[in-house]
Amino acid sequence: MTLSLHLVDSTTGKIVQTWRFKGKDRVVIGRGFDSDIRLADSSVSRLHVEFVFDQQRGGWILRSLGRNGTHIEGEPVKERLIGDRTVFRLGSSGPQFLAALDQKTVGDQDTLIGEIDAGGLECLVVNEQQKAEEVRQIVEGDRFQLLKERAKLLRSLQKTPPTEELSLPPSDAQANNIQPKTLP
Amino acid sequence: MAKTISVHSFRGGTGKSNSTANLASMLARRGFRVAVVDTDIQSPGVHVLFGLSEDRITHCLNDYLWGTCQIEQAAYDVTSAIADADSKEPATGQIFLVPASLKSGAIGRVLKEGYDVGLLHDGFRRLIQQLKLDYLFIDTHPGVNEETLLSIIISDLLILVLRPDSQDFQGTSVTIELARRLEVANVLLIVNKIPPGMDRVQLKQKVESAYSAQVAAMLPLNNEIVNLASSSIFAIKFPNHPFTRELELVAQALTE
Repeated sequence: MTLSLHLVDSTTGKIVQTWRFKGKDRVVIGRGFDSDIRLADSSVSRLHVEFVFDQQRGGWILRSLGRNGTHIEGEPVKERLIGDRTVFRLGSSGPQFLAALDQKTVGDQDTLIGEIDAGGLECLVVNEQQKAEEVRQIVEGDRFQLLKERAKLLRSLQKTPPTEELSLPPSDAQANNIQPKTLP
Repeated sequence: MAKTISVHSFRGGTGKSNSTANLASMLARRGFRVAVVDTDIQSPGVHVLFGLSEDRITHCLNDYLWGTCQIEQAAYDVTSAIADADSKEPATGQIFLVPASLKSGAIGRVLKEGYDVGLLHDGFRRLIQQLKLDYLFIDTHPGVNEETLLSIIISDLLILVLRPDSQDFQGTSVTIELARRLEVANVLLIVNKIPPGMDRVQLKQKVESAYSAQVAAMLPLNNEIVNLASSSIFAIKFPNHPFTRELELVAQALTE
């Protein structure tokens, strides 16, 4: 049975990418190099979730392996026989997928460009009010002002040799008394 | 004089590390001395593209930040990753990679304690001097945080990578506004993962108009790059692919 995994844009509910697996009995999603679907997302573990085809039960078993867990309908799931059109999420707020069980025969592992939603250009709009508010929240804080001061200092140091001692305002690490070790 | 280039995106999954690795490789293939520093300490990954295996990494950026090595000790020559299998001529340039630690303990320590950005800045300058670099690429952590903003500030050029989707579009606008307030002079945009069917001319106009910044490349959603599964440098493997040709425009712009 072909297992199709659709990556879903959780804000719109639209499918953004699809992988179909035919003739495989194990499919892995993770950040690791060996994953069948490799996701460069910090909320995804190297080996996050596997799907194993159970011959006796005639279906796919979802098995969560990652540190952040796998959620179905908001609940963490360790292991489950999935039905057609099961929606699951990696971690509590990570990427969302739709698993579909179908009989279509396509390549062993195929990203189906044709199924990617081209979307409309009309959705690409900057909400100026939201942007102004987000920027305001960041720049009004003391930390941003400190950042600007450090920026000026770092830029002025660009022209000096790198071996000179730096005299910077205290960083987070320094404020927490974390000092780099002295080289021998 | 060496150019420092930060490559950043508002969200993960935009193809930022891939763009960084490919651009750096293109410049090294043109004969330049190039280094890539993986400052995405929370979710490192660019080492995979250069085929740098974990067991070869004895020092990394984290070690430098904790003061246990000099930054050049954490730099690995990965020029072999950009060798053209079909050509007998060796690459004339050289490319180095400073990876971030893949150990969860080291990643956790950074998350918990932060690091001294001044030290990072000093390390960049030392790396340029010690390795006699022409270009230094900084692969940043996605999103807006203090360390990343400071990396952007000390760069000669900021390259922002975004996908044509509503979240990236909004988030990138905030990032650009913050960069302008921090007086970052040079910003280039790369629009990546453009789905087939999307009007590229209109998209480019829309992006440039929304951000008042130049779009340097419009990269198609790339089925082959997905299948390559980040195992090598795409531009080296597929030099005539539309993706590579478009990205070559950015590499060319960087040399001018």
